[in-house]
Amino acid sequence: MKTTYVYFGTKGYYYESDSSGDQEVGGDSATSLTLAGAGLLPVDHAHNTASTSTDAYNIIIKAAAGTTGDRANDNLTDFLTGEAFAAAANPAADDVTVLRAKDYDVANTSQVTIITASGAVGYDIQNNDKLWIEQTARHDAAGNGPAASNLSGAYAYPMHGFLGADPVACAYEHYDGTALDQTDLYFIKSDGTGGNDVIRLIHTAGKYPDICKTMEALNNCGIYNRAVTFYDLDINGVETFLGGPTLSGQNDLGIKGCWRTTA
Amino acid sequence: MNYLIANDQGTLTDFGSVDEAVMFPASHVLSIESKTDTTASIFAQSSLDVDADVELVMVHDDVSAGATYKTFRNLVDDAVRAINSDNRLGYTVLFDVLNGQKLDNQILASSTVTED
Repeated sequence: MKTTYVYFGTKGYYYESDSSGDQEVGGDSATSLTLAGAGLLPVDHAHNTASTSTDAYNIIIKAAAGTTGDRANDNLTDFLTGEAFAAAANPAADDVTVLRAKDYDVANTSQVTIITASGAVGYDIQNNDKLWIEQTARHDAAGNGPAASNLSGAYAYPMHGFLGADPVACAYEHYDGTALDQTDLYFIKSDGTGGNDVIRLIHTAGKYPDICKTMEALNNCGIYNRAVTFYDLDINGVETFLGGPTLSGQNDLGIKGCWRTTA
Repeated sequence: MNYLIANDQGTLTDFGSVDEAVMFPASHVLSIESKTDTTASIFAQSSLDVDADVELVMVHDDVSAGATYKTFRNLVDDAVRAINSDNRLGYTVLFDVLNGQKLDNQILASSTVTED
């Protein structure tokens, strides 16, 4: 009996908004990101050390309100609009700022600390500011591969092993303002031990029914001579989408993150 | 039902122990995954223990290199094509070190069979 195979690449994605703003990502102290929660674990990096790699992911901050002196004075351009900030050192409400390598540290491959703004370095996180970490390419520097210093994971599952799709409570939003939801896709575990493998999707809010319809369409698409890509992110940053229920090849589901929660 | 065969032994006299040659039905494949930048694995339900797996490790070109970054993805397609093939013999050989048979994008040297 033939079965369709579905292929997933990896794109790590993390969001937080803290009513008590602090310089740590993932909590109010040096809290670790997890592979299950973020889909990527940045390699260690010192903000004043150019030799450590910060390739393949961005740290992005959206200001909740206008403040003075809380951003590096040479961070000049809005990441979302591409327009110049009115004042580099003074974040305005809804400014979207991408950090540079000199603006943050990474310790223990999981603890991200934003450097306090001073001159041409850093950013001061304020109450209710929003922060994202977004993977931008398949790259070993993203640190989320199946083994240290390897490219991020990629997986193909036979659809006869698909167990179901589960909507999961999620209060994420994207830096363009789009509300996001989370859906977990369950497959029979690849090591045969009786558990399951979970492919976690972060996508535009309200798309859970379309994801279910997409999996049904995929399972019955009649393609047996290759794996069908649901989502992929390659080493050049090129994304491939299956699309929604019509299998359009466009990002109809608004996928922002895709990763397996087990290494 | 198509049955799949893999063998990592180069001489007939080496057969007989675990981790050498396996055959399993195509419906027992659990996943195909990247393992390192130069290896991919097919996991299938183990014939020794239904709560474990058989892992077929297939070596391929380095996907972190710009010229060969699609090799893993192409190897996945090779594997799916073989698993779903219409073979009137009723079985398909994924790779066989003894007879030099392999998938198109696979490197046969150091490709292995491991039964848990």
